[in-house]
Amino acid sequence: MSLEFFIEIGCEEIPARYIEATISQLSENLAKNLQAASLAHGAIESYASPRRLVVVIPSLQERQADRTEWITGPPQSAAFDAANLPTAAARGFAARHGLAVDQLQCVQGEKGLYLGFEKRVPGRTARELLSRELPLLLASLNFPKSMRWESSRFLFVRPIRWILCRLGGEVVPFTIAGVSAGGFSYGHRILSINKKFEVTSFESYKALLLEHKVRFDGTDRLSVIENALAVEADRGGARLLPDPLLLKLVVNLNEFPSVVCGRFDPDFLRLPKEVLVTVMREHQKYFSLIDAQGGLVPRFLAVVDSDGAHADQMRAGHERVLKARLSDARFFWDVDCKVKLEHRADKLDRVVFQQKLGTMLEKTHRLVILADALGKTVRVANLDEIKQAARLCKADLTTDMVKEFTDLQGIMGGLYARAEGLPSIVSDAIYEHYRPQTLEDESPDTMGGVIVSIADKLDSVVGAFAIGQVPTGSKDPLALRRQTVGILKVLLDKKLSISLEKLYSKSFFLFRKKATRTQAETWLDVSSFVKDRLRFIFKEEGFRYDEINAVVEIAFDNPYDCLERLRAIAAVRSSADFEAIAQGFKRIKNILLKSGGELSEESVDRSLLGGEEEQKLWTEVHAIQPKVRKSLRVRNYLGAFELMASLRPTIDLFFDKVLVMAEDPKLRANRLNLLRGLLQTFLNIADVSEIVPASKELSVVDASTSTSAAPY
Amino acid sequence: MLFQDLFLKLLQFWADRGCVIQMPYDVEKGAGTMNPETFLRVLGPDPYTVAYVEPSRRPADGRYGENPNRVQKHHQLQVLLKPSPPDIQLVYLQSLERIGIRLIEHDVRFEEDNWESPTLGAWGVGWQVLLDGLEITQFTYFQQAGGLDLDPCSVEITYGLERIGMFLNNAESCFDLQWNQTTSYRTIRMRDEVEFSRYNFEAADSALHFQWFEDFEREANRLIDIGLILPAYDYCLKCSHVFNVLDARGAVSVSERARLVQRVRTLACGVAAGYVKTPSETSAQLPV
Repeated sequence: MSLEFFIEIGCEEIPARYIEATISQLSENLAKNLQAASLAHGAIESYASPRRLVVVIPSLQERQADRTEWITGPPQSAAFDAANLPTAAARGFAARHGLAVDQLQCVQGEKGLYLGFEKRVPGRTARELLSRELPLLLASLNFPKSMRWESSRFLFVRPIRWILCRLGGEVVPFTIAGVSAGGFSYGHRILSINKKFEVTSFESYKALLLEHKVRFDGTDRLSVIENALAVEADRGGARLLPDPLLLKLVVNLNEFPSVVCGRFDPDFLRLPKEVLVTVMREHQKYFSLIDAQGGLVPRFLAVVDSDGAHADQMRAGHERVLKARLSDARFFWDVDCKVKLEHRADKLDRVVFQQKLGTMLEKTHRLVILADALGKTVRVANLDEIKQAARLCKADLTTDMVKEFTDLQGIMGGLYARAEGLPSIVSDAIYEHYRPQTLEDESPDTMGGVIVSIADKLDSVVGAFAIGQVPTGSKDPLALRRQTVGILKVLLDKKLSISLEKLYSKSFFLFRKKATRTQAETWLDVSSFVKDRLRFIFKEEGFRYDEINAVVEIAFDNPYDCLERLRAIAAVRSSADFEAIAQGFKRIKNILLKSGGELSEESVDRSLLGGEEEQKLWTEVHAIQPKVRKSLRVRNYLGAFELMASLRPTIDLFFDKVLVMAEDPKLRANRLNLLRGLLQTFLNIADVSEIVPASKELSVVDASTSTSAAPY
Repeated sequence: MLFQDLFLKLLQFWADRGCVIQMPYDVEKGAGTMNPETFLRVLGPDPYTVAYVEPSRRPADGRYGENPNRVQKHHQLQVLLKPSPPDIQLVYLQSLERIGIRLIEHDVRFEEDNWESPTLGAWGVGWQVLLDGLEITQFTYFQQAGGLDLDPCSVEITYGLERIGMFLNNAESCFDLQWNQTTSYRTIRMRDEVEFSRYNFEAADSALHFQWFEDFEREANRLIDIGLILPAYDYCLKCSHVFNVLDARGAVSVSERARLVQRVRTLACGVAAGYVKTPSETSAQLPV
C-alpha cells in the first residue's frame, strides 16, 4: 500500500543564494535514504521559499517488503542421535525460536548439513523508518555557512522554527534542534502574521498556504514576477532592461511577490547609465526600464513581498530610499570628476594590491611594462595611448564612487576618463579591462582593452604564484582561476598568437625582488595551472577529452595556436586512416616505453636497414619531414595531419612484417631509432597516441595496441 | 512620532519582556555591540537580557552636518537576548508595530547580512531588516566573540533610530526630526556634527593619537595580566576609537591599517579570555 508523505521545514529566512542548493540536497538525500531502506516510491517533488523547505512524495510504500532470513542451528551430526531422534541441542534451538523440531529443516551449507529454518522478517513501516531517518537527514545537509541558535547546538543554515510532517495523514514523530514535528503550518510572515493552521494533506496544504498568502513554489513565484514586471513595464510605455541574474535572486527573496513601479527625478539621468543601473540593482534589487532607443527612463520596478493592497505606500518608501542613494551617487560623481585620473594614479601608493606584492601604484608600473611587451608582440597601433591606459586603469580605486560600488571598478575609470576628455583609446581600454570576468562574459572590444586586460590578469596570476599563493580546491581568494580563464579566452577570441612563457618571464622578472620561489619553480605551477584552465575551456567548447589531451600538453604555450591544432584534429579524427595512425602511434609509444627509450636524437644507420618495409618507412619518413615542417610553419595543421595519415599503409606494412625487438642489439636499436624519428616528426604537432577511436571509447586497449602483443 | 518617543517606547517594550534597561556605556565606541553589556555578557554560560540606547561614533562617516543621511554619531537601540527565544522574529515584528509601523502596509524583508567585527574577533549570522527598501535593523545570532565560541548563542537586535525616525516621519533629513515637542534633532546634534567632523578630518593630532594607541594598548595588556578585565576592556575600547579617528584623519597607511586592527583584536580576545576565566562576582542574571 502507498501513502502520501510530505514535510515542510519552517525556518527563519534562508539566504536567497543557498535556497536551490539546499532543497536539492534535501530531496536527493531523502531519495538515497529511501533507496537504502528499500522503500519504493513514486516521484519526489520539492519546493522552497525563504522560509520553507518542502518535499512531497505522493506515493510512498507504506512498509518495506517482508523478507526471509535463514537462521542456522546446530549441524545435523549434533542435532540427531544414533536413533535419529532430536538431541538436546536440536530441541533447545527449536524452543528458542518458538518452533517444534519437525518445523526445522536440514539444509546443505558450505560446511555441511545444518539444521535451521527460514525466518520471516516483516518489513518496517515507513513511518518508523522516517521517524528515525529524518533527523539524520537534516543533520547531513551541508551549507557554505552554518549557525547554532539553541541548546542542542544543532548546526543549520538558519534557525528551524517548525516542522510539518505527515505520512498518510498522520504526523511522523521526530524532534530536531528542539523542534518537534507536528501537523501545523504558518502563513505569510506579515500578511498572515502569527496565524497557525492545521494541515492534513498536501492538497489542503496548497490551498491553505495560498489562502495565507504564501507561494511556496519557486516556479510559481517566478511566473508571477515575470508577468507583473512585463505588465508594469508596459503600463509605463517602456521595456524592462533584462536582468536574468537579478530575476533569479529576487524569486527567493519573498513568499508572495508583487511588483511596484516607482519614479525618480529625471535630473539623475545625467549620470552614466552604468551608475544608475548598478545603484538600482545592487543595493535595492530594482529592475531598470528603458525606452525604445535603449536609454533609461526615470522609473524602476521593485519586487515587494506583499499583495497589492498597499502598493502606494510601498512605492513612496522605495522612492525615498532610491532618492537618497542616487543623491549619494550624484554627489560622488560630481566630487570625483573634480580630480583628474593622472592625479589619482599617484595616490595609488595608498591602496594595497596584495600584502606581499605591494601597492596598486607598483602594479600599474608593472602593467605599463607588460602592456609595452605585449603590444609590441602583437604589433598593436597606438601603443603609447594603451600604455597610458595601463597607467591609469586602477586610478578609479581612489574614487568615492568605486569605494561605494566596487563592482564598478574599471567601468568608472573609463567613464571618468571619457568625461575628462582623454582619447577614446584610453577610456575604452580602461572601461573594458576587467573583462572577461567569466567564460560567458564578453572579451574587450578594443585592442587597448585586450592588452590591459591580459597584462592585469597575468600580473595578478604570476605575482601570486611567485609568492607561493597557489589556489587549492576550495581556496582561491584572488580569483586566479577566473583571471587565467580570462587571459586564455581573450587570446582565443581575438586570435592572438603569443608565447605565454615569454610573457610570463617578463612578468616574473618584475616580481624578482618579491618572489619567494625561483622562476623555474613558479613556471611549473603556472604552466600546469594554465593547462588545466585551457583543458576546461576546450571542454566547454565541445572538444573531446582525447583531442584535448593530444594537443594541450604539447602546444599550450600558444593557446590560439593550440586551438588551431585542436580544430584540425577534430576535423580529421574520424577518417579511417587517421584512426589507424593514432593506433599505430600508440603502439610505437608503448614499444619505445617498454624498451626504456627516451626520445633521443640518434639517427638511423641506413646500412642496418633490412627488408623492403623498413627501407620504405625510412624513405617516406625522411621525405615527409620537410613537408611537415613547412606545414607547421604556415600553421596548416590539417595538411600536416593529412601527411601523417598518408603514412598509414607503410606503417601497417612495417608492423606486419618487421620484428622491432630483434635479437641483434644493433638491429633492435636501429629499428627503435627509426620509430623514434617517426614519432618525433609528428609529436611536434600533437600527441596523436592520445586519440581513442570511437569504437573503443574508454574501453580496454585491444590486442593491436596492447604492450604484450606480438609480433614486433 | 517624536525621536525620543521612539526609543522610550522601544525600551518600554523590551522592559515589558523582562530586559534589564541599561545605560549607554561611557567610553567612546562605534556600535552598541561594543558596550560591555553585549560584548562581555555574550561570553560564558550565564543568561542575560538587556536593552539600551547607544550613541555610536564612526568618525569616518562624518559629513559636517551637510548630508541628510550620514552622521559621525548616530543612535542605536541595542537589544541582547541570551539565550535567544524561539519566537524572537515575531517579537521583533511586534516591537515595530509598537512604534507605529503598520507592517501590513509595508514591504518587510529579512535579507541575508552576516555581521562581523574584526576588531572584536566577533561574528554572527543574520539579516538586515528592510522596510520598503530601507535598512532599519541588524538582526544577528552571535556565533563567536573575542575569538571564542559562544554557548548559549545570543541574538542581538540593533535598531537604527535615525533611520526609523525618518521613515516614520517621512523626513528627508535626520536633522529635520523633532526630538521632543519643542526641540529638533538639529538643535541638539548639529553643532556636534560640524565640530567633530572638523576634528576627525582636519584637526585631530595624529602623533598624539598614535601615542595614545600605544599607551592604551600597554595599559590594557597590563590590566589583563593582573586580572582586571573590565578596566582592561575600557582601554581596548579606547584603542579602537583612537584607531577610528586616525583612520578618518587619513593618517593610517593601508598596510598599517591591518596591523592596528589586529592589535585591537588581540586585546579584545585577551579580555574575552580573561572574562570567561574569572567567575562572576554576583549570581547569574535571572533569565527572562
